[in-house]
Amino acid sequence: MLRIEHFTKTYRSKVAVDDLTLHIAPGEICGFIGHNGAGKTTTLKACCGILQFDKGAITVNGHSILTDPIACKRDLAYIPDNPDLYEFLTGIQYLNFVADIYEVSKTDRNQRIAHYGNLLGMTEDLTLKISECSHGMKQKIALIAALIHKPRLILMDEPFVGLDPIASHQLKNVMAQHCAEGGAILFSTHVLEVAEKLCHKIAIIKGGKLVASGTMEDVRGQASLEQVFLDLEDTL
Amino acid sequence: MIRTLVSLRFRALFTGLIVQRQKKNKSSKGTVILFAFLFLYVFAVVAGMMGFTFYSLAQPYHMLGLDWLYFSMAGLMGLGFAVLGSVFTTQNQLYDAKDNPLLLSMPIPPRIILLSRMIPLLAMNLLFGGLVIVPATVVYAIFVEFSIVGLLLQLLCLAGIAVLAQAISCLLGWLLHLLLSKLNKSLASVLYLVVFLGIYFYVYSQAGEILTAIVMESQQIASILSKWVWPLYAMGMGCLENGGLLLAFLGICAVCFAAVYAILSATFLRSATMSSVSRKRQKLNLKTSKTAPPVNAIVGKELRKFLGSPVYLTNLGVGLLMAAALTVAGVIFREDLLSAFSMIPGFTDLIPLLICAVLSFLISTMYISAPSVSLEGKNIWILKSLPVSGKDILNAKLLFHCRMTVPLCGICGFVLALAYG
Repeated sequence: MLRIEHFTKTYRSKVAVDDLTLHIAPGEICGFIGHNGAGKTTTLKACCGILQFDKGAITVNGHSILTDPIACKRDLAYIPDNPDLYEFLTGIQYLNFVADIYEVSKTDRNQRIAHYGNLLGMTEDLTLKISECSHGMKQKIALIAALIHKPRLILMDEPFVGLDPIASHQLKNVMAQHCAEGGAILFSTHVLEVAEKLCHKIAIIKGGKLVASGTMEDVRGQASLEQVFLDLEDTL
Repeated sequence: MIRTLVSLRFRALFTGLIVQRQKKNKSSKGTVILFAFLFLYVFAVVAGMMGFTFYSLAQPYHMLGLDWLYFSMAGLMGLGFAVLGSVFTTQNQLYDAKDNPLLLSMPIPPRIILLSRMIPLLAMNLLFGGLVIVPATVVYAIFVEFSIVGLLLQLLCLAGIAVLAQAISCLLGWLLHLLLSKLNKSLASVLYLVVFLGIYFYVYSQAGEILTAIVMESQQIASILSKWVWPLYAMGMGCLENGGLLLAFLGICAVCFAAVYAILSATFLRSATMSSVSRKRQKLNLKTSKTAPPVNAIVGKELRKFLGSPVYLTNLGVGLLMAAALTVAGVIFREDLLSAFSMIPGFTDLIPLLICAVLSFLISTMYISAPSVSLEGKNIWILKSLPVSGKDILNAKLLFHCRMTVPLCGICGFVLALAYG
């Protein structure tokens, strides 16, 4: 589904991500863990075509994000950590906008908006202007917008920040359901307990370099993910 | 504490000028110097215009023995200029400042937060008032009478005018804040701009007559001012070395400022935290939703952004307003314009060229699509992550621009061609 090969991104003289290789197959949820400034957001943004990069290759279902970005973007959805949405639109206007770009039919979009709106408790709040929404409400709108076209790959940057407990629980169910249906998810998080329960694979990044990756069992072993992460931070 | 807060406000003001927000790095020295030069140029032009205006008043008033009226008029104009120039900034800085919640959560009395915001605004009022009063003072010193004491007193009066303008701006800013919490901000801004432009063009077109009237009716104006607007009379006399009246004027300015400060201090917490958010929920009706092709979806988004952004609308939508006004005015004043044109030999043949030139000028002010990419700002990630090419995005923005301008300009050109053909 997603193949990142020797991905390197440099900002002026600083190497943000250095020679990162990561593969995510259909049906997998991969947790991306690292300290602040490790390169998680840079990697996610490069995967969805927001950032250009210096070296390496990123492909989504065989399409290169550099040479065929439109084909890649049709299959994926991105949810940033801080959802800066169009403040001048209402939630429903934003969702319709995204649905129009993805050419989602009226029936499908209405059905999905109703479904995810009810699931996340957002239905009535979709009529509010986004400028009037709280951070958590914006996060939910961004989430519904990401799911409206039934993407194959979902890229999420700290998706649980700002969500209430019910919405967090529902999001975990949605993620599990998505992968059960053959989709894939790459998400970054600082909440290691969630990563332990949800993820099939883990990738730990430190200072732009991938320091550990593999299945949860391979990476964690008998210890907790937190212990593994802290040990890696100390030793490297 | 107050010094820290005030220096923070000034730093925020200057950082906004020298740091490029999108690139998040300092502008080059060259850019800073260029901006400084541009500001100085604008100030010089405005000061020059004011100097020229007061030149036409200085000697006539001096000959009539109404030197005090000269300074009172300067004070009145300076007051008006300062208030007009700062009222929106005052409202924004006092009540819509982004760090209000942060500062209010700290052990800082609200009145101190308010004062720290008012001090930079006072500096702004000093600058705007100075653009009027300093040229008036210089013109008087050069063409009527030069006196060091007089100059110092006139500059003191400038300080008084700045304080008075601050008090009036704060009150108007408070009213504006109440109004904006009820009204759509874009609509309010456009309304303000239309009224402001209307007044500006009227005054500009009648400037000669107004100046003549100010000179011819000087005795009546003097009588009205000294009877009904005594502080301005006191200011005018104070500039002519009448110490007692100068102190009275400065006292009145200080009292007005203190009174406004006291009222605003008492209400600041409530006003600053008054939300303009209505959170009025409507029932979601998915049946009324419509689909659109991707390019049209972006055009629709651009329209909503244009109408929802006061700055975007007022800066780039003025040309649209002017084109509509030109269409109407061109028909209404057809006879007057044709008779005026006929007084210039051969000018009637140039009317089609004139219409094209005027229309071209208006179109050149409607550069709606030019800043639309940079105006995406922090939302750029949305378009970048969606399956739509850069070419389609730019075409959509251009299409929006054309849809806004082409029909209106077409109608304007057609109507004018018919009216003057």
